Amino acid sequence: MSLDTLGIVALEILNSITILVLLALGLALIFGMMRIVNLAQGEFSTAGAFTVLTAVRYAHLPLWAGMLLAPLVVGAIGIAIERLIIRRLYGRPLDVMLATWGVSLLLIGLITVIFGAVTQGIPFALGNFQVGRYSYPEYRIVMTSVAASLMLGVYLLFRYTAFGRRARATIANPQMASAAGINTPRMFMLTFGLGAGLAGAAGAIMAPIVGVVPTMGVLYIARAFITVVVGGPVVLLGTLSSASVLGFIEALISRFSLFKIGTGGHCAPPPCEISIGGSAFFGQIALLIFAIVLLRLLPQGLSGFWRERE
Amino acid sequence: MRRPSSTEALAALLLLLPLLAVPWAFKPYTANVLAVYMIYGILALSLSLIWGYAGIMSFGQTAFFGIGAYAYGAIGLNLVHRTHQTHLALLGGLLAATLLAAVVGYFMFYGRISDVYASIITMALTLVLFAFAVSTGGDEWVIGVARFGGFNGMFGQGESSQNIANFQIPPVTVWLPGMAAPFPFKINRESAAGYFLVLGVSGVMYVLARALLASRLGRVAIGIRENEARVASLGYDTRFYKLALFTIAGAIAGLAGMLFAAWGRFVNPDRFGLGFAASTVVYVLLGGRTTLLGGFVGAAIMGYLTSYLAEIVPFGTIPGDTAPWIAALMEGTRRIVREAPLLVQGAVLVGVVLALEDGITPPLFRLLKRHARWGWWIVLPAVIFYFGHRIACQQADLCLY
Repeated sequence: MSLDTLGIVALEILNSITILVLLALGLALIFGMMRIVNLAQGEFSTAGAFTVLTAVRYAHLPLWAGMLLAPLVVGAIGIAIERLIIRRLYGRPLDVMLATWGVSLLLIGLITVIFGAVTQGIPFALGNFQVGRYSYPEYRIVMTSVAASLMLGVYLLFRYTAFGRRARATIANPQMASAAGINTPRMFMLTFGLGAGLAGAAGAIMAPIVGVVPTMGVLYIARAFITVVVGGPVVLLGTLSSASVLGFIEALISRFSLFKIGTGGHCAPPPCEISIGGSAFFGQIALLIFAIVLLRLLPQGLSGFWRERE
Repeated sequence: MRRPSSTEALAALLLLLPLLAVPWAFKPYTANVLAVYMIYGILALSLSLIWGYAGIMSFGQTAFFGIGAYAYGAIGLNLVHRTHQTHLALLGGLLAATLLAAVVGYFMFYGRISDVYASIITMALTLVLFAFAVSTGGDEWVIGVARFGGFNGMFGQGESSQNIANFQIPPVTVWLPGMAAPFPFKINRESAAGYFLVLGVSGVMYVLARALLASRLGRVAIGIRENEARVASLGYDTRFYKLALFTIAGAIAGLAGMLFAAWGRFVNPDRFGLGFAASTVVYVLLGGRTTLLGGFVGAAIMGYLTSYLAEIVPFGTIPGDTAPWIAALMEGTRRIVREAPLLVQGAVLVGVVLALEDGITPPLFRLLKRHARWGWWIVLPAVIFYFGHRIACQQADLCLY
């Protein structure tokens, strides 16, 4: 394997990790903090992508404005859903899961009613750069930096702000937090909204490189959940470590099986996201098998394993 | 064990008599549609068995359903021309589903993956199988004469001069030693054997599931649902009991899948898809997760509702001289109706969870219990009269109206 192949494989691994982090961060936040399995998370991402589409296509805003708008819009949707539905179901984890699944089907239906069931693209103007013989899209590097700053932002928010302290107190002991004067229902609502907003941001960032279609959330939800489950109880550390391990495996196996199929190392210009969707299914199957076996060995997930060792 | 009360006998009569009469009372189309509702009902039964009674919420019963269907199809397509029966295909499909359930169940339960995690793993399983089945479109995905066909679904390949029917997955075909010719279970104008096969399997599965729940395995499972730690502290290996029930439920789901492939003579990746997985959960939730009949009721209601909504196109063509805002309103309504199956499923999920936790079967049964006398004297004779008239009308043109 020559040096530039090595470099491109490393970049693809980085890209896989980035995508998993983006997909799983909001989900891990909601699941880790509130113990809620939010099956509508994929559709929150879809809503984010459609916000960007609407902003760029119909309101003629610049792309970055649409991307800034997406988490706000989706966060508002998330807060509305928390108030209307999820609030009534706290303490019934399976029922929350079913209700959010219903919400996800309703969202897919509504988005299809409004935008139609066609795949739409979002034009953007970033080129490729050369790694030896290969060219690689610059946009993926942007994605990686956005994912990193989102993680850092969540860390800072929960570690150093008053909101973060109250939220952590609420999660640790709701009764005590409530007795100490914290408005706990409000904290749950905001945390859910934040998780939804992160999903919206993820959808917005992915929108230019994938086809925007009402059912796009379905493609990601399985991998996002696997990442969260493998990550275990600690939100940020778990997400990062499991995304790293799983992204590494997925990228390597996808790459390997792609070579076998004969697509070669070359990738046509920008809108060719090979690591998402059908063509990389060997990678996804490897991901699932690895996750199931890993959970047999480490039932608490990666971060739970580390926590036990300490 | 509780003795079956007269209400249960009434309920059984009210369900069974119409179902037995259907092939004579209606056109083959009705029997065909009811057969697929019952197949979905068997799948839903497998889910309510583990969800309602052992508290294991599996989002991926469709994985076992699909595996059963694909395995039956692949073996059936290859062997039916040589052996003229599908015994081996039935066995193979059942084995494939059972084995998959056993392996996945082993890793889940012996890894002590608990409730919500188990749901996620099973869901990921069916979604990954979906991704796999979709990407088998190429020429390398062929077993003998069975071509996986990716999105297009499974078909046989062979000489182009042969009859097209030979390329489809065979119906359940039996040829036992004493029989003169192979007997295919089809549903058409001549025969309703396929319908009665599905009805019979549904009945057998229902009785089997009831017997299972009355056995030691079932009682331990219910104990696990109520309080797993206490059951474990009484000396039961809860992991084993959960695995056993999960495997049995997987086998039942696989059986439903085989019946489905034989019924439609076709299977495609949609059987693994999220939409179908959602439907299954909706059937059980709507019908009632703690009754074994609930799945059948839910499947029939949702099946009828979605196929009805999928057929109607409101307003026909919108005339050109309509005012713009009325045209927009009409177009909007039409779009909503087009997406109605999805919207209805979502609304049922949210609505049942929020308002009607037990589903609709238990309230219906309570109603029947309270008015059992009316049921015996009015509803049952009415049903008998209606179906008797239908049969007379359909078979001998003796129509009163």
